[in-house]
Amino acid sequence: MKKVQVLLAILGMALLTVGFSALGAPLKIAIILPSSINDGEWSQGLYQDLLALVDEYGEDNLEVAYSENMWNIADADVAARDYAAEGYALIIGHGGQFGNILIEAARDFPGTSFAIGTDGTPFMAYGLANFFGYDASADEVGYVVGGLAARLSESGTVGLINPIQSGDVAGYEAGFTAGAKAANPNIEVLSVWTGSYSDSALASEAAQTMVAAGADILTGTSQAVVAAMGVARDNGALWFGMRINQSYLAPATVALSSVYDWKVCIRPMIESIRAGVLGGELYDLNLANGGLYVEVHEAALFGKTIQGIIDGSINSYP
Amino acid sequence: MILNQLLRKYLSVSRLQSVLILLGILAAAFAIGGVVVAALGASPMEALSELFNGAFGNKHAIANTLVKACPLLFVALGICVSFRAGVFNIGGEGQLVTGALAAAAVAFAIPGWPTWLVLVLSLAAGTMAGAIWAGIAGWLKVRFNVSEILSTIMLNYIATLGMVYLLSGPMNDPAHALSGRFMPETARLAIELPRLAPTRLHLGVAIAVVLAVLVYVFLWRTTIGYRIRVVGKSLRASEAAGINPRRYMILAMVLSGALIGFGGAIELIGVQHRLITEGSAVYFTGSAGFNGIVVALFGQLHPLGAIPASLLFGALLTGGARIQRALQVPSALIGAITGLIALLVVGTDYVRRRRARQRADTELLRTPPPNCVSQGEGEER
Amino acid sequence: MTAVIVGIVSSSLRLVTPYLFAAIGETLSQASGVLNLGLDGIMLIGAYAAFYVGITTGSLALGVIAAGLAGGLLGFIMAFVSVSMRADQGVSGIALYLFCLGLSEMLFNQTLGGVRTISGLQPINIPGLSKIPVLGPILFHQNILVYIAFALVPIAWFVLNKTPFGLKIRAVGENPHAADSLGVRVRRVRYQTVTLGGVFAGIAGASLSIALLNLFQPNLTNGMGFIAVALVYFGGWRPVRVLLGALLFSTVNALQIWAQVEGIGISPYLTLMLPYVITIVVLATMKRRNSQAPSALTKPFERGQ
Repeated sequence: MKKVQVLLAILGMALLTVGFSALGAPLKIAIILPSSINDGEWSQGLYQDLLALVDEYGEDNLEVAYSENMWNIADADVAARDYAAEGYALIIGHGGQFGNILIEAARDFPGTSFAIGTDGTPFMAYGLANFFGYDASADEVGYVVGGLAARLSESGTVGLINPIQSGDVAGYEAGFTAGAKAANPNIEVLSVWTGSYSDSALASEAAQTMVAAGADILTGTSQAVVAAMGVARDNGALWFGMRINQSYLAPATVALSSVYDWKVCIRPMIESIRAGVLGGELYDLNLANGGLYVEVHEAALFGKTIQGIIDGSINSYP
Repeated sequence: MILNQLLRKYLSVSRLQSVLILLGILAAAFAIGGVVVAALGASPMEALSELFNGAFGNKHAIANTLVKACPLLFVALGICVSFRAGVFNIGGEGQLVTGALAAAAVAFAIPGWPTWLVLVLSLAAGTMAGAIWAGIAGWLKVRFNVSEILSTIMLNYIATLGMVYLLSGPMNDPAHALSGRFMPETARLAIELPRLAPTRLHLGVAIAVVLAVLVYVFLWRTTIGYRIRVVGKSLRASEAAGINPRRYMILAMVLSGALIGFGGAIELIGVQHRLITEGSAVYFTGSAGFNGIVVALFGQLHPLGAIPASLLFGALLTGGARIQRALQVPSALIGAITGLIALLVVGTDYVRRRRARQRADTELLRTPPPNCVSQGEGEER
Repeated sequence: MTAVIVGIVSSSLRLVTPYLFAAIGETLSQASGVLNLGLDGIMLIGAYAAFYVGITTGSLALGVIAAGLAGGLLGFIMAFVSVSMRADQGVSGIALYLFCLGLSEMLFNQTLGGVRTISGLQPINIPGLSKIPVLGPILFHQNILVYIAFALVPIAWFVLNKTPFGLKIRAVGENPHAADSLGVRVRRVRYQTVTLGGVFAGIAGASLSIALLNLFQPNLTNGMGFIAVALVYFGGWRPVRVLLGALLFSTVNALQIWAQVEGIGISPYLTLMLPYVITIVVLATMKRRNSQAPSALTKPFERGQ
């Protein structure tokens, strides 16, 4: 998968050196984020990937502005229209909830590109020429890590802690469950919906309850799950990270991370706009194009065993 | 305390002084904000100009400010009515949500009917739902002695979770079942409030202003309004005047909820057209249910005062968001400064308005109610 | 079955701690006649202060002290606004909340820069008691803040009902003018209770950020402070009943999580409502005596009225 990424990066670079040499003004992208740029998850992931794209293209060619904590739909509407009026070329609403307002803004600003994701699919039906969609096939990566969880679990019980059944969260939950069941039909997959993206206390208690019910591998989405990760750490369970590499939060606990590489869908949008095509395309993050990939963190998976062999507490050659 | 002695010295102020103090406070808040903006590496003057630009810079900005002020005004009007009766309604969030939910449910239930009729029935349903939701709190208070502070806080959560439940299941956009999309949202409404200009400005803003006048007339020019205010001023006085305080407390709560529920329906039909949540009321309300309480007090709990107060707050929020966009400073900065302004204005309210308030209080108990001098008796049955 | 009950009870005890700190502090300030709706904001600042000081100095004790100090300072500000400046208490509380919500996130941005975790307060075994089968590990294997929170209940009860200070608090809350004429310094008493309430709210925040969740994020409390205010009304301004209310709310919450984990087939969004619904229903149907609000609650004191 890494190879695909490198390939894409090279391809992107090649395209950009050809395409940009003649252009003067930078392409201006605005992103509308539901939570804050350091939420450790959803919004932070996209923002960091866009900063990486700025590095890649150079500050003279790409400019990024953000609006954060746009929980409220009407506020996001104002922001999107304001960015459009200010001459931004691409306005990304990061969350399916912004889809409707962006469709209406796209009609009023036909010269500006708009993008919505994840869950962009239904909005392509409007057939707007200046509207991109993006999706994340989180079910794919969920299936992969769900299968692994079922095989790794010693207790035969794993747990999912999610906020609301919507968008890629619903996909991840469904894929994880299916993958786990496929790998081990007897696996018990516990699932809690906390009803909130920010209720850390509830996410933490859900984790506690799952651990008490025997779960030894936990995973989940939303900004609130860092607290649940802490519960996994304190109880010797493993955590499967989601959306960004979460290993830094608990190196001995986060066994792997299902990472979203948003660049895979944003880069072609930039290229398309450069080529004069303002929309009409749906992009998907999936295993095939490297937009989704699993990053394995050795420290949590078998760090203890290695350490044991090194310090002699484990005999590797009996 | 020395503090209190110092304060007392400054407490007698004229109207002019009161305005000057308010301006001074705003200046102080902006100065503090400016220092923080500068510390973040941006220009305070630019921030100030973007604040104005975002709130009033062009016709779209003005429209955005008015549209933002609209739900705040509805909530503030509801708060005026309930606070005047001495009932502390902090259930604005829940009442906005239930109002919007009912409005959406009705709009989807009668698809083929004439648009104007759907519009009217939908708004009526929103009003009713808000009234019922607040009425529950009023009923719990009067019948079971359950504090409205407790019940409205709890009812906010219940309404929000109810919204998530309904939007995920029974009220979910039917198209999602076909496309396999998971999103707790309704379909797009077929109805829309007429626009007042080629901007986001919708008819609801005008309705809100008219309603403010009506609420003023109701509270100050009708017997029922007078009684609500007497109940709020003193339970003992109201009982002495033969007014049943419990009845007027429930009534005030119901009216308060009706105004806020109506505001929720207007926000849905006028601005958002589709109800969406991901687990919090703020997706729909933008915290107007809380901010509206502050707005009401800015406006001295007077329906007409709520008009400029909501405008000020709407401008602050709209302009503040613009500062965030234009200067790329964290949104939390704007939140903190807005909160600071609210704290400073509320905190100095008494100093600024002491005289006016004392005059109003004595007036209320001295002057007879309009139209009927003592019809209090005979009302109890 | 035992395991399930043990799980639910220990979950409930963990959840109850922040509510208890905040609600007991609020009970004191409300008993003296001041409603502080800014509790959630103070909790947020307390949570931040504890986490930041804890992670930079490496001392969790200093973190708790910092949370108490920060909370006390905010409580003092609330007292200044509502007692000296006689502002509307409900509204000034909401304004304080909005301010703290923004401030705590800004401090998070500027000083922490992102989500980080801390190794929080560890459970302490009470010698002997923690060995009791089943109950021991639940009740007597908790971190220090849990013990303090529970100890606060009888202490607050004692202070309110059996000490001259408590008498003053209640006098000031019931009839400030009579208290004033008897020489009680009404404003001073209110300053003391509201500041103390702020200290407790700050520590409530600390119990979240360095004991229960071991991290700080914007809006970490997610409205817990408002629930704590509601619990004071539930408890009718009596510490023991505030505790019962907090336990009821937390236990129902723990139960509904457990029900979800067990997969009972009811929409999670409906089970999530249960703590709120049941709190109202229990309060409405409960036989209550002496649960009238302090007469002067939310009324600023002014001599000669």
